[in-house]
Amino acid sequence: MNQYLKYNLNLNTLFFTSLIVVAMQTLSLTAFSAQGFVAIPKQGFTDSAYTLCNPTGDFGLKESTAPNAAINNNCAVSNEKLLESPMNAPLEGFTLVGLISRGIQMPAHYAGEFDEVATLTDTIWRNADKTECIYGTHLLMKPNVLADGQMWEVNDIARGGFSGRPVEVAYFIKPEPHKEYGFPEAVFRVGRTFTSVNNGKNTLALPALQGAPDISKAMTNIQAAAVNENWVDFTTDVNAKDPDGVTRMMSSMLYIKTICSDYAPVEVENAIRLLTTGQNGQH
Amino acid sequence: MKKFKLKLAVLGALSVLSVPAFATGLVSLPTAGFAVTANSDFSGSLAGTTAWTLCNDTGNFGSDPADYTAPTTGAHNICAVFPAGGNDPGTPDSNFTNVALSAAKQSVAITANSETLATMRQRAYRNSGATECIFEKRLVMNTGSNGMGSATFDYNPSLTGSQRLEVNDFAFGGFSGTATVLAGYYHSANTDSPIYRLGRSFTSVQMQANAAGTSPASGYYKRPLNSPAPAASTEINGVGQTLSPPGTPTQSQQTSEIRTNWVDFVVDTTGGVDEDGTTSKDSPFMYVRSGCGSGTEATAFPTVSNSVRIRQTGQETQPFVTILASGITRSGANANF
Repeated sequence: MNQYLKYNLNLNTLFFTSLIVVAMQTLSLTAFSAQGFVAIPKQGFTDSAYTLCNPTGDFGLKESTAPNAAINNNCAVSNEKLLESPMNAPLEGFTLVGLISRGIQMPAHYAGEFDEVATLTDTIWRNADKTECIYGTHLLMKPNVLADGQMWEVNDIARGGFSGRPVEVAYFIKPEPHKEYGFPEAVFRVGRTFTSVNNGKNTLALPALQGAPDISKAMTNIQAAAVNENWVDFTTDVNAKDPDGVTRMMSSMLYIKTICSDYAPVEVENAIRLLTTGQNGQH
Repeated sequence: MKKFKLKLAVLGALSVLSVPAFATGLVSLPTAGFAVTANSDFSGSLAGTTAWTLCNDTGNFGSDPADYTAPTTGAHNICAVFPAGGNDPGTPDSNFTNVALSAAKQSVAITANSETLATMRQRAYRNSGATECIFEKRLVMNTGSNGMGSATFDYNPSLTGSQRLEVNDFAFGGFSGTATVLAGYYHSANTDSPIYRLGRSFTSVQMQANAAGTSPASGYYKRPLNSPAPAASTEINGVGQTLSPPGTPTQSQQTSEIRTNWVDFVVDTTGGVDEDGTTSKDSPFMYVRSGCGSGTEATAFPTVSNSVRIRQTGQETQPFVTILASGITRSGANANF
């Protein structure tokens, strides 16, 4: 039994079910500026399904540094409206079309006295032409102890539903700490993959393609992940009390931009996955 | 004419209640719902069964520019109770006494994207035989100037300026295991919304007003029918975002199934100036009376994850927003649909 499969929640999400069928879109593998949305091609990158975003913090084992205009700003977005409130869209011309915020319950076998271990907010913005959408994800961990005496750690947040669609990703960190929840954790890497890869000491920053498990494998401690064009995986490190001593209890605002339709959002089951990959020996 | 019809609808609702010697007080929400006759909501509205009963008959669900009329012991007081008053009103029924809850249960922060949208107050009252309880909840919305942090976010991007979250429905879960459910509200101040309707329903139903704001737009039911039922997990049934209101709903976009586990309170509460010009930044004190049991706070009043739903249902073209929160409810209860 693979210990890393222990916490692997499947959650419903808001999504647009009506897929717009497009001809194969040509995406430039290098089409991103140092700052802003980054294309995550459906065929992955040359040597990995993942690309690096914020290189600081050693995947959460140390304090990460918020991006700024000069440095550590791959995949990062920031603007006046976001600084005002993360409810605003990360790009001009996009407006809110739906939001669901919900408590995440740990299954009874793993839960402590109170089973609600996080709050997940799922937000959708759409452009005026109703051709592109941005899916926002935000996770706030709750300080409720699990059955094993620890608090839940999420290392990867994955969203599904992007097969056949162009995908660009970004994240936003509010530079000022929240008065109750502190600083958000950065996004370390993003991949077009279903497979979350354990990180920690002596692991690869970018998991390899060679030797990767099947594209349906949710988690692995082999340092390799296959491309799965239906999924986007954000690697971060959130925990209300992290055993490695570096606690960040909320995620950044995570964004996925893709094509969509003018349909109203509907809920799709099991389209968001929250994964613990055992960075600090969690099992 | 409209007023006459409304009175008929209310009388229809009352006629199936078991207790209402007076207009005021918590009203019974039978598991079988209420019967409605054809044309009782509008010309052409269908006959059937509804989960819903009407409460404050003024204000047109918050859309009337003339505003609502607060309930008094003499008028507009269906579903209303009048406890001692103020912001800590105490028990709404002298047969029930306050059960001390921990501080964490008395005040719950409601968040989305880690921003505080509201604070929820909770109290519980129990009768001497420990057979029935009254669960009280009240939400104070974040206005940006009442100590909950900034509230600059825009929940209605189709209008110019920046609009606050407008709550049209609060739904509370955990009541499927009890035959007896009564519900009602206390309107403490003019910063409260009244309750316009309440029902044993999980799904909230979108309401939009006519151009004048004085009555529902064509096709909107005041008391949505039980069928055809939307999918069980439907948080909000309606036309969705309509950029030039009002949208025209089909009959099936104006229904909600009777779900005995839930009580939905229809309000119009906004953490700032409402799009319709009238503003109630707080909910009233909302009560659900149900069967319960003896025991300590931890046993009798457990916190159940996602047993509170806070919904913006697009009364003025806003996007649908649903916030799930945890709240206290009955022992052994769940938040299933």
